[in-house]
Amino acid sequence: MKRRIAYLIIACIPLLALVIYINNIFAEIKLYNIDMQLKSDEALVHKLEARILERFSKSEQDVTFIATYLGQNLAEAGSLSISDSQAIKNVMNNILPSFLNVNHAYQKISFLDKNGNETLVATNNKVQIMAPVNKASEDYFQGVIRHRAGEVYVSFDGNSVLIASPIYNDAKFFGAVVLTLQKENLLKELQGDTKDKVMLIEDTGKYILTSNQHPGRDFTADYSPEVLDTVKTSTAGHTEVGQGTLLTFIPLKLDDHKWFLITQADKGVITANTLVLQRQLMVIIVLTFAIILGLLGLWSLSYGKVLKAERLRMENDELANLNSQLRRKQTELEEQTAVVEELNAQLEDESRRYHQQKDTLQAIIDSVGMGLAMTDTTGKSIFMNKVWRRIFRYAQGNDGDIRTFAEDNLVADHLIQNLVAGATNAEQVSEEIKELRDNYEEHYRAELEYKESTHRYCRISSVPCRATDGQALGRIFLFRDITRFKEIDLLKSELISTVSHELRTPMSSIMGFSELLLTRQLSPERSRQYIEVIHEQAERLTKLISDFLDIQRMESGKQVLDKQRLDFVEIVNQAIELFSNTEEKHRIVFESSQGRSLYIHADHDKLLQVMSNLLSNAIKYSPQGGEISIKVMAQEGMLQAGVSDHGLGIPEEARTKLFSKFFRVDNDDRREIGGTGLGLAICKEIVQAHNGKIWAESTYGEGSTFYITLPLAEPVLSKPDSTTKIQTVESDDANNGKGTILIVEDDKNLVNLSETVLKEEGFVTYAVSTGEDALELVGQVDFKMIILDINLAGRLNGWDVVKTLKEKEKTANMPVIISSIYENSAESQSQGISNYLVKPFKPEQLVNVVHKVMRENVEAQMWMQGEESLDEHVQNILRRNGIKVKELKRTDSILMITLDGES
Amino acid sequence: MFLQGLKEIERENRLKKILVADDEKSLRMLISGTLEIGNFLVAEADNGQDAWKMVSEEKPDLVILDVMMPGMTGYQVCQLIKSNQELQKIKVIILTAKGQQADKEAALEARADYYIAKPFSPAQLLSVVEDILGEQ
Repeated sequence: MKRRIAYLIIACIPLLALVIYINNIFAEIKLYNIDMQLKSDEALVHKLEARILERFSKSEQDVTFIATYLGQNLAEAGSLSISDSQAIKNVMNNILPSFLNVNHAYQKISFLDKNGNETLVATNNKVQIMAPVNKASEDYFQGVIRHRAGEVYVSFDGNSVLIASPIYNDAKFFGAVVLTLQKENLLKELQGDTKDKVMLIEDTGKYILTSNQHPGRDFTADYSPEVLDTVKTSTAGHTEVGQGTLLTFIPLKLDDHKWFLITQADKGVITANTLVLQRQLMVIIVLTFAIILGLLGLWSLSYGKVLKAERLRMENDELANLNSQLRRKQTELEEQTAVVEELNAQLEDESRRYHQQKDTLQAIIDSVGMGLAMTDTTGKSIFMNKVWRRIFRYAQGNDGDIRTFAEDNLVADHLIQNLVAGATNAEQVSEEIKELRDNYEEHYRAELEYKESTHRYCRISSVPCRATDGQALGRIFLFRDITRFKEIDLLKSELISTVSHELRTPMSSIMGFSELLLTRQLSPERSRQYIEVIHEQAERLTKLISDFLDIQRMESGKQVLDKQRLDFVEIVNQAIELFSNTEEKHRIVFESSQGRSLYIHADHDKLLQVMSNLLSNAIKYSPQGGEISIKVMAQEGMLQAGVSDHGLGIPEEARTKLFSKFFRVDNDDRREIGGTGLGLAICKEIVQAHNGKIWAESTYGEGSTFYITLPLAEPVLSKPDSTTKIQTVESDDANNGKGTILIVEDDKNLVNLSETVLKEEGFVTYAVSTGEDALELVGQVDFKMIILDINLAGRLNGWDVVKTLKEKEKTANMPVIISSIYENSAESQSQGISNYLVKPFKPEQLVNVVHKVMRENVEAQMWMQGEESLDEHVQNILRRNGIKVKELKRTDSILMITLDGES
Repeated sequence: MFLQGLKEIERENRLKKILVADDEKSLRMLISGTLEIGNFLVAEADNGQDAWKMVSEEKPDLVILDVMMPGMTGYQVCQLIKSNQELQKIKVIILTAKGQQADKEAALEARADYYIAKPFSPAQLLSVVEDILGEQ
């Protein structure tokens, strides 16, 4: 508030100064105006003086002219007297009017006689000559007569100004002419266009002329005696009388009169214009001031707001400034950000690459198949891989608890406490590892043997780790379970020793005997005996080598099987043939439940080798002789053959190793029985290569039975009718196929897939997309089965096809596999169809179902042909469905089935 | 009966008695044949147990042991002999098909007197046997 007042005061100062200044100016103007007025007044007075003097001068001329003229005329007329005035009258009549009429300056022209009587008066109307009416005052007359001819006497009689000139006739005073001036005209003439009051006064203060409309008694009455004194005492000048009234005066030199010409100027009038202007200006200034004050008031009122607005504006400016700075900064920042972002992107890129590399490295390190950990130079762990963790867990024998490796201060401690613990040589190794901490350069390796639950070997090794610049980074520990390597090592050395033993033994005999034969004199009997041994051992060696090579080839997967369709019964007979002549104390009995050919897909020579090996073993290990029986049967698509003897049997503990290489049951009772120990190993390899199994059942001391199973080959089917009219039919060489299958399916892709899969399995396939085509084709081709889609392209659907098939005798028993997108429906059960594939199905599912149906069909046909009893058939079916049959009894048409278990 | 016969002969001729233990018939035949040439009494065993039984019963002068024998290995038999106060004087030759250093060491560890690797020369065998028995 104080500040506002201060502002107001400060604002008023120039205003006041302005007012004062303007006032001064006006004062100056006023003074100047007055000065000018005074000058003009003086000029006026002088002008008036000139005018009045001119008037008087004219009047003097007039009067002198008239006087002269009159005088002359009087002289001509001779002694003219006033009484002779007729003559004068005549003269006068001639000239006077012209004087009177010109300018109407004269009120009257009169003629005074020598006595001073007024004898002739001319007014503007007429010239009258009259008897002396009036006698001029003595003073006046005396004044006139004092003058000589040609002179003029000017006087004021109190009312009028008189101008007289004496007339002389012959130097004798004759009279005088008197002009009475017209006062009004004189004043008018004098005043001219002057607006000021004009006065002509006597020194007594008596007015001679005054332009005042209502003059007072005299000048002193109107003004004051002091003013009159001033006028009288000064030669010329001004005097101020009263407020605003200025008198300008000048003495009029006219004869001996002391007359004064005075003008009165009203100062108020003089300064009126200036004052008006001043007043207007003052009004304007005051108004301006008022407006300014008002504005100031307003400003004062709105000061806060203004101030606030100002502050706001300033703040705004500041803000704008800041803003621009900010924007600049922002721009800079943005540029920097862009740079940073670019760097960031590069960094991210690098980081990603780094992480990828790291991941790759981690993955590599994780997949090295051994525990890997790293310690820094102080022995603190800094890294470990997955395997290490796993091994650690293994070493701890605690499956659930995986401690984070970082918790362990030192790998060595960790190793000693957890990994080394339990090893037979734990103490030694832990000491050695402890020492490693002080010896960073040392390459360390130790093997740990664990004999707890399982016998295991582990190898721990440690090498110093250096960066590429040679700086020591720490130490890398590798921990590896080498049990398998140890085992392999062991196996290898065992194999080598076995082989060398097996080779050296016959070689020893051969060399020894041959040496004896060469160096000693021997009896012929002994020589022969020795040569026989040599031969025998050489044969043994040959056999061993060939067996060994065989098994080596088989094990390395290089066995080449020449698979053909073979009758297994035939092979058994051939094997029996090999031994029939050599062994007489054994009787070989061959039983085949099928009684006729059983086809398998196999390598003839290899299978013969298997059967002869088994037979040879049976013979060898039943040294007392006895019956050796071979039983062959078909079961669930598999052929099973058993070779039984009543020989030594196999001890319990030996059975697991029976099929291992070079394994031979060592017992007193079979010491003399020769063999390479490879026979059963070879059998196993061959059977497995044929997708079969081999095992042995034995009772020690009573005999053994060796079983093999092999998959049966599908019966050969006849070639489909090549004259079929249907174009979609694809024909394969049916002789090589397992059977012909009709695929009824409208999905092309599924058809392709099914066909591919089934062809791989050795089937011939036909494919149609409608039920109608399917039924037509069924009439022409002998199909093993139909794979039938339910939703078909044509008029008939799958169920219609099934119904039609069931109605016809020829096709009533044709197996049908339903392939549908729907779950196995009630309808399929009602139609007696149990083979159901829900789309989408895997190729294996299709193959499995097809094989299953095939087997069932073969068995059914066998049964129908009487080759398998009904009972067996039932039993097989039940077994396939997971039901164990204990007993089957039949009485006429009733079949009693006793199931295994409580059922 | 065979041993009884031997005893008689030994008694008469004071021939050195040698036990041959090998599971391989042909080798036993070869060794026996060789030793017979050298005029030794030879007995045979085809496994470790029999060999040990015969050694403790018959107390031969020399035992020729095959390493790879069923029942007991040659090393085991050798160890039994050498750790038996009564029998430790009996000389032992280890005869094995394993011609490796490890086997040699194993033989010496079992305190065998000699080691012969297969295949061996009958003459070498004979001279070794004669050397060993001649020391006595």
